[in-house]
Amino acid sequence: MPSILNLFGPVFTEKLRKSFRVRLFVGITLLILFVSSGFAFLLFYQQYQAQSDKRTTEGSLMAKLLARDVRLAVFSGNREEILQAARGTMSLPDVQSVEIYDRAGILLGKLANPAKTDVRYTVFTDRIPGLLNRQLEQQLIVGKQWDGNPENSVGSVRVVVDESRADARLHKTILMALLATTLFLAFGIIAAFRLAKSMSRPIAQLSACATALKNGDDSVRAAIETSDELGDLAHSFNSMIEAIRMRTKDLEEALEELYQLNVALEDKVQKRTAQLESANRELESFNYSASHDLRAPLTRLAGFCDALKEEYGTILDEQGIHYINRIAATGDQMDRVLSALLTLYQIQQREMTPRNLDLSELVSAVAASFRQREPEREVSFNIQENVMVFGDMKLIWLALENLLGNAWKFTRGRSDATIEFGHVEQAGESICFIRDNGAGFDMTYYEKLFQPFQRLHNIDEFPGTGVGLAIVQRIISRHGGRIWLESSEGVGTTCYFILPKGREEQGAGSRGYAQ
Amino acid sequence: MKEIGILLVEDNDDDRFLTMRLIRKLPFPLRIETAKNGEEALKRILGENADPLPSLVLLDLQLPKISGISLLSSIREKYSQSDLPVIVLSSSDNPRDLKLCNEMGISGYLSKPLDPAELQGHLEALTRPLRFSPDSSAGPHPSP
Repeated sequence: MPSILNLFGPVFTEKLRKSFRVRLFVGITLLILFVSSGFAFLLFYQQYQAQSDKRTTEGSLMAKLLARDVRLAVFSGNREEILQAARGTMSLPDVQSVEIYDRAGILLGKLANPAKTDVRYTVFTDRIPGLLNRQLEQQLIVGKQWDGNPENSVGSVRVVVDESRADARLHKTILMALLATTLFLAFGIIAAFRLAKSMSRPIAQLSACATALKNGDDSVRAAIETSDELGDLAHSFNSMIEAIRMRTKDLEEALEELYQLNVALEDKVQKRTAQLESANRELESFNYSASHDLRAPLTRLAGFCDALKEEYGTILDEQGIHYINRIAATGDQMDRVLSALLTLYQIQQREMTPRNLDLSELVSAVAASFRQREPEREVSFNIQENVMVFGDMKLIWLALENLLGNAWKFTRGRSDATIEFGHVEQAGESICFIRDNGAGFDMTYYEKLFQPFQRLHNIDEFPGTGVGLAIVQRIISRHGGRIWLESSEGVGTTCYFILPKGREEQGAGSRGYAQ
Repeated sequence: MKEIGILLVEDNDDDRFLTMRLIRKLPFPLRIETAKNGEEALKRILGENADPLPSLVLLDLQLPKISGISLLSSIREKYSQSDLPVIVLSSSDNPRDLKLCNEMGISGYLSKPLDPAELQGHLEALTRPLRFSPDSSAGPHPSP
């Protein structure tokens, strides 16, 4: 099919493919052309056949009649009579020449009109009937039927008929047929054009409506008032547009509602954010002024304790000195708590600058600082190497100080104190752990662990601020990690935590911890 | 050894007493003046009787009325860090204030209670005869 279509040229092929109207028009036209040319051909063929039959019959008859007419003349050798018979035949229409031959084929007489070129001639010949024998010559006169045997013929006639008039008639017939076909075709084409137009108009209209609908105009309607299938289609189309319009309206309303809601929400968020920011600022300034105002008297207390000891130490007895020391120690404890509170706050405020850290080296460094502080304690550290994390140096250091500090603190009094650091891979996560064989705690109170100032041990037994784990938890969660503890009283505690994974680096990139 | 003039700006009587008690114990010939607030300090440094200038100002940031920060900025409008070194005293100050101080130029930061050894280090740096870069050894110490 495409090869046939391609014969029409690319533009027309495109039109034929795209336009229903063109396709319809071409189809109908081709059908009319086919039918009308078929009819014309049949008509012409029939005309031609009838005429040619008629001519053959007439010509044969003419020759036969001439043969009969000249029979006696040939038999008798009367040339005058032969020519007279020939003249009689010549007088018939369209006869161009008449020739009469004897039995031996010798021309006895010939009459001819001048031969024309460009004219078709048809030759008719017939034998002149003769006698069976000479004795039966009498029969000839009474006109006994010839038996048809050529042996018995006395000669032959040859009649040449001019076919030009017949051909002209035939031409005329063909012309008429062609004219009729052309007229029929012309009317047919006009009718096909109108039909195609009228049939394609509603479709084009529907198509235009659909295009308008696609471009967002939902007020269009297909104005087709026929009761046929196209009318039904248009009706369905119109109801579809109405449905779409309704749905769009609902959607727009919902969208508008959503937008309003969003605006209100944004407004609310903005207000809340402003409130929060202001609260945050207030809290910050409160935090500093509170820690200053609370700390300043403590500092003075310590200063006067020092002054008292230095200047009046000599006149106080042991009990007096002890009291002064107790006052100073109490002040120190409060100072530590205040520092821890401030730290807790600063963790939240700090701008993080995370990088790759060798956690193993940091743990070793913190452990070394503990050993240096309390060289008399015997604690064995078991540190897995090359544990890399990605985090803020200062905060991670602080977390390790607190976690190892706890391990260090709670293993006090154990002769075989061991603190282990390492990591395990579990479900794609790198879980670090710090394990001690210290005092441990009762898991019943686990929930209280990470709250500031919640203590699971007596302060005299294991001194501390009660803020350490809260600090660690904040640091871990600021890194997007998790922390949890497992403990058993008298057996030890394991603290697990997850930090962002770091890459192992070549060189001194992770060695900048020494502070 | 030349006498070192120190101006201590401190509003709290107890703190002033304790700080002076510590400074006096240092092994330097010292002339200690005190100011109870920003106005007194400004009058002493920028007023008519400014001469002779103190060699060092010990400044508490938490002062009534004129704050330590604005006092420092007034001083720095007239005297550079090498002309008049300032050391900030504080118990617990906002890191933002400390950053401001550093930008304006201070020789150091001492947290209360004062560590006599630390203060002694600052004074030694101050009295060193040849000072190519007077404040490099006593750079600011931000809180950990």
